[in-house]
Amino acid sequence: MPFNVLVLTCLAYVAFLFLVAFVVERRASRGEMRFLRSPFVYTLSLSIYCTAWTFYGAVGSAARTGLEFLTIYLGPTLVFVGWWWVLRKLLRIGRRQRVTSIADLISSRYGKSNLLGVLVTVIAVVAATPYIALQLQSVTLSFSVFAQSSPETWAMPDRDATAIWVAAGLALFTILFGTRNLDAKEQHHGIVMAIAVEAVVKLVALLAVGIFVVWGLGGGPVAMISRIENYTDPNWAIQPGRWGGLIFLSAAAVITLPRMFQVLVVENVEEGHLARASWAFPTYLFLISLFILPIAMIGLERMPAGANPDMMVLTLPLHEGQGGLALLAFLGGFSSATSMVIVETIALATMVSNHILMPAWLWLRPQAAVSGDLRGVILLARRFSIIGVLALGLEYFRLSGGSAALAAIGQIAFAGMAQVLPALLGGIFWRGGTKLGASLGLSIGFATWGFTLFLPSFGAGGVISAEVLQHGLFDLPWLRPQALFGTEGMDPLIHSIFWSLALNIAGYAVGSLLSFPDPVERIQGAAFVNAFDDELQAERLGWTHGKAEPEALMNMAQRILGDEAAISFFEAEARAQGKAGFLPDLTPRFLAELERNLAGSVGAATAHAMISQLFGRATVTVEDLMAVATEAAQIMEYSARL
Amino acid sequence: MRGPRAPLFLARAVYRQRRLRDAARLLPLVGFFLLMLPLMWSDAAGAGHTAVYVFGVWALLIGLTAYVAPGLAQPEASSPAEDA
Repeated sequence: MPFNVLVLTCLAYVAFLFLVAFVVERRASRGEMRFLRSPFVYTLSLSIYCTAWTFYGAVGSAARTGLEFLTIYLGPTLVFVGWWWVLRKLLRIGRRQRVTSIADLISSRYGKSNLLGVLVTVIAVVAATPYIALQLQSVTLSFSVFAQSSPETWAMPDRDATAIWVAAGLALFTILFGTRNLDAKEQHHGIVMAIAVEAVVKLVALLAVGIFVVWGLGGGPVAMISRIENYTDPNWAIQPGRWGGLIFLSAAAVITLPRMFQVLVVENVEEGHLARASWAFPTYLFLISLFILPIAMIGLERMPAGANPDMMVLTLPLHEGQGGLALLAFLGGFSSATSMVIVETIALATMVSNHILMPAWLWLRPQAAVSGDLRGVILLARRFSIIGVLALGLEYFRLSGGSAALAAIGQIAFAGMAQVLPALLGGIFWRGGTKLGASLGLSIGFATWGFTLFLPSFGAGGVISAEVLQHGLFDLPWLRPQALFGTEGMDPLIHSIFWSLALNIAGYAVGSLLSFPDPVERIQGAAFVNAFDDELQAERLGWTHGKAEPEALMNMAQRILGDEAAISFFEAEARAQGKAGFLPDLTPRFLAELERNLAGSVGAATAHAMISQLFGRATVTVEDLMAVATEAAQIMEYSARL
Repeated sequence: MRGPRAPLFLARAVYRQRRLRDAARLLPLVGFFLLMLPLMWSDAAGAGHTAVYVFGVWALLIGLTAYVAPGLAQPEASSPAEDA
């Protein structure tokens, strides 16, 4: 197939995605959101978990190590099947606290500490860098596959130039649809719809190649299974350490990856969608993994030795003369890579601008916080962050030479992001976790990951010298990056996960046990851990996060109690608090008093519901509403008798 | 402030809902157990059979979760206390 046809198809596809995002944004801004509010769009948007690593790398991984690639999808399956444990709580907290990113969540839990926000942001950016590089690498590789197979047209495009073009296009799309306006909830409907479309494209593409391979080349499923059964390769034996370790790692990643958090929590429009996604998302993963092994198997049999197994999804149909199928596969791979980069950069840009750039800006120009419109500055900060994040990925791609196996790069990123897990799980299940513990755990874990996995990934003599790799830091043999404390027998990846998380958890636990949290931390800790406890939630909302202004309460009280009574009640309370005027502080005691006072006129349940409503819908339960209905009926009955 | 307690005949439904939640909590543990089993098998088991087994477990987990999920999505039938 001519190379320029490929480029044209690619451009047409991108234009189509622009159109989808644009139309959806338009409709969302007019309030027509019905089709966006479907649980299927939510499930499909979750599938950005499957990136180019899945689309291309999984086949490569299957060809090299057999069934091991499955672990990357089994971990998330277990997390979603067990949604009642973690995801449900995470979603509830995220929505209640109006969390905008994983860094925001950690910072908010530990007393709104910006230090922690910065720490998580740095970890996320560093861990995402190789991951974004992976996507660029796969797109460049797939372009070059087509360039090689079509001698009649252009020479093979320059590798770096392709990567730069792709990165620039992605930056443009992300800036256009990710930073059009500032949404308090950080939701991007256009982008969610575009990635849902891309999710369908990549699934259809992979299934099409798989069906062609199994029924067209492999002679049906039964023959396929026996072929796989008879294939002997010592590398295909399951290694227990890696099997268990990778299932754990991918389970951790699906919760902590910035882009997963973005679609799972931030872009969620309705909590109930999670119940559907709990089985629908594992089904998506199941389908996408189903044909990976057969494709790898047939690829190994038919392709010449030395062909890059990471590109078999593309090269196998080309080799068999199926140009159309190869084009579909190319679009699928392109979709996987682009959707990941778009959402990842949005998530990271939100973190970088909220936790690093904006605080720095306000520190430099303190008067900006009081006067002037900050929206322009924030949007600008977002745009620079998007470009910065993409530039980092591009640089990693150029430095690493774009030669490593895709799966290996992805695992480095997973292990880096997994460092957030102890602080996250500790934060939502253990009230004793403190800011000091979280900072300690995160920094120790991050440093250990960097030393044992990330820096060595640049190769011996890259950042860490061969000398240090061999003999350890400062010539101390127990500080060898891949054999800390003498643990030589471990696989380097498992070694790094093991030590970084062990030291991370130790730091978190010791720091938390020995320090004492400040009041905000304690309130937030209770709110997170008891997220499903409505009573405590009401109490907390009453005096920390209340959106209600004294004036609003005053208005409501006037309407119910009458002007005279309301004003004198408020005035008396203000005097008791030692304040002039008639607007007291909203202490829990005052609110309880007011509620009782209102209850005298409209009934306890209504009074509670009204006050709750002023403090956000959080505190109104179904029971409350039922009681309101009963009371209203009683009042009607009463007035009818009059 | 709260409404009257749920009547007695509801108890059975509430009880079922609680057990459904317990089942939902157990599912990932069951899945983990089943997925660790291939590690104990002898090397004679080829990749083909292991793959069929793993995909079978996977489909089973999806099926069970889909069976349990609609019941869990219902609003809580009684007080939020999590004990039985």
